[in-house]
Amino acid sequence: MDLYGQEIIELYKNPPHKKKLTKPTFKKSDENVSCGDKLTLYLITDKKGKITKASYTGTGCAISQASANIFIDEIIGQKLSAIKKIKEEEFIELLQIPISPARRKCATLILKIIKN
Amino acid sequence: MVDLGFVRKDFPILKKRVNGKRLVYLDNAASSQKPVVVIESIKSFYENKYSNIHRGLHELSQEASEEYEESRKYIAKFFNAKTEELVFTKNATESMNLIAYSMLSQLKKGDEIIISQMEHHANIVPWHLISNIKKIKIKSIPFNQETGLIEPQTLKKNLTKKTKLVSLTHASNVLGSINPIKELSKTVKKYNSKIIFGSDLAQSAPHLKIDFKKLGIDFGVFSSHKMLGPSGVGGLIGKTEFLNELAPFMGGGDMIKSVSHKKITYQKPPYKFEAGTPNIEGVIGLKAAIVYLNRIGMKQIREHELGLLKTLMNEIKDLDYLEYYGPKKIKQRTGLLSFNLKNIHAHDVSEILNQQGIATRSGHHCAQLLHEHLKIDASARASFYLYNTKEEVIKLVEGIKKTKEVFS
Repeated sequence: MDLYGQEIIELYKNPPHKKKLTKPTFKKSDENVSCGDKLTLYLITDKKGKITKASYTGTGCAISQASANIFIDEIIGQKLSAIKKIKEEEFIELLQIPISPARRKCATLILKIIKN
Repeated sequence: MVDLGFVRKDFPILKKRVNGKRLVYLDNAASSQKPVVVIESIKSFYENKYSNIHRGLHELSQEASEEYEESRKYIAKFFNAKTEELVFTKNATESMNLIAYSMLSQLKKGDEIIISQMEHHANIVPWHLISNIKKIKIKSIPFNQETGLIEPQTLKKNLTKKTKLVSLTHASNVLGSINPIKELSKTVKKYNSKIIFGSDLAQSAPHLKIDFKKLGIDFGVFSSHKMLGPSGVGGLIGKTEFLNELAPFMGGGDMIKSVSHKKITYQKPPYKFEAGTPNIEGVIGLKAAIVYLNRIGMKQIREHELGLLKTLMNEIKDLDYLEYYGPKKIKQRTGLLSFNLKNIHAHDVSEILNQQGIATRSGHHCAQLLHEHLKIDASARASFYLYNTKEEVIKLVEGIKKTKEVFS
C-alpha cells in the first residue's frame, strides 16, 4: 500500500477525531522536537478504566496525524491499562501503513503519549 | 550560461535508480557524491603506498608521508593559505570544537563570544559547551530577515570591550545566504584588532572560490565530504599567529616534540593539532577532489549553480502555495533552496519527492534556532552541485506540483 494512499491523505485532510474533549480524565502532550510533530491526546475513561471517548489536537506531518486518528479508532471501548501495554511492533502492524525507519517517530508519537 | 552536464559521467552513483526512477540527488548541502578520480586515488593509495605517516624510515612510510604532506600543500594553496596554516581534522564540526576548547585557556569569566541566529549547530554548541566551563557570554546576533544576510552594522552594535571572538557562517545551509565575511571581519578588526574572527566555510568552500588571505579571517573550517572528498576529513585553516597561541586539543603521538616525566613540549602548528594517526587516505582523497574541482574551475561551478537557481526561481514563481527562505537575489545565494508548501509538512514533501527518486532533506537541518526565528517547525531543502542539471531542477518542480496534488 502506498504510504500516501487515499486513506492517509483523507485522514490528514478530514481528521474525524481532531477535537478537544471537555473534562477529560486523561490529557497528555508530546512532540517530535526534530521535526515539529505535536500531539495532545484526550481521553475519558469510566469507573472500570474503559475508554469511552477519545480525541486529539495537534499539528504535524500526515503520518503523525493519520496514525493518531487510526489509533483513536482502535482504543475506544478498550481498557486504558491494556492499551498502555501495546508494544511498538503491534502498533505498527495495526496501522497497516508501510512506515520506513525514518518515519517511525512520526507514526508512534501518539503511542508514546499514551504509554509514558 | 555554463552547462556542466559532461561531469555526470565522472560520478558512478548518478546512474542509480531509486524507487524505479533515475536518482535525482539534490541533497548536496548534506553531503556530496564522489567522482571516479577520488575513488581511484584512495584505491591506488591502498594498493601502492599505504603505510603510517611520519613514523618510519622504510620506503612505504616515506612515500606515504610525502604524499600526505604534498596533499596538505596542494589543498592549502587551493584556499590561498600557507601550508602550515592547514590543520587536518575529522570535519568542520571537529574543527570548531578544536578552536572552542583550545581557546578556553585564553578566555576568562565575563568574556563574550558572538555568533549569529542563522548558524548551524556546529557553530553554536561548541561555544555553549565552553561557556558553561568558564561563564563566558554567548551573543547571537540577528540577521536581516528581508535580505537573509548578516549586516556589519548589526555586528558593530554588538561588539564590546569584552568581545574576544566572533564566529559567523560564510554561507547558510538553510537560507543559502552568502554573508559579507570580508566586511564583517573588517568591522571587527577596526573595532579591536585583537578580537579573533572566524568563519564556518562548510557550505561555501565546495561552491565558491575561497581566498583565505583576502577574506581577512583568523580561522576558517570546512569538510571534505561536502566538496567531493571522502568523509572523515575536514580542515581548520588558521593564521599562524592564531594557531601558535592556541593550546593543543587532542594529545598523543605526532603532536609532541618531546615527552619526559617533568615536561612535554609540543610541535609547531599544524602538527600540534594532529594527534595520532590521521585519516591518511581521506586526505589523499580530498586532494584528488580538489584537483578535480580545479580542473572544472570554481568559477564555472558557481556559474553553473547560478543557472540552476535561475531556472528554479523561474519555475516556482507562480506557485502561490510555496514559501521559500533566504535572499531573493540569486547572486546572494549558494545553490540551495529551503521551502515549505502550504498545509503540507516538510517530511511529507520529502517523502513524496523520494518516491519519485528525488533526494531532498527535511527537518531543521541542524539549525533549530534559525527555524525558531523563521517561525517554522521544519523545512524541505533542495541543494545543488556541479553535477545537477536543468532537467533535474524541472523534475524537482514537477515533484513539488505532484506533492500538492496528492494533498488536494
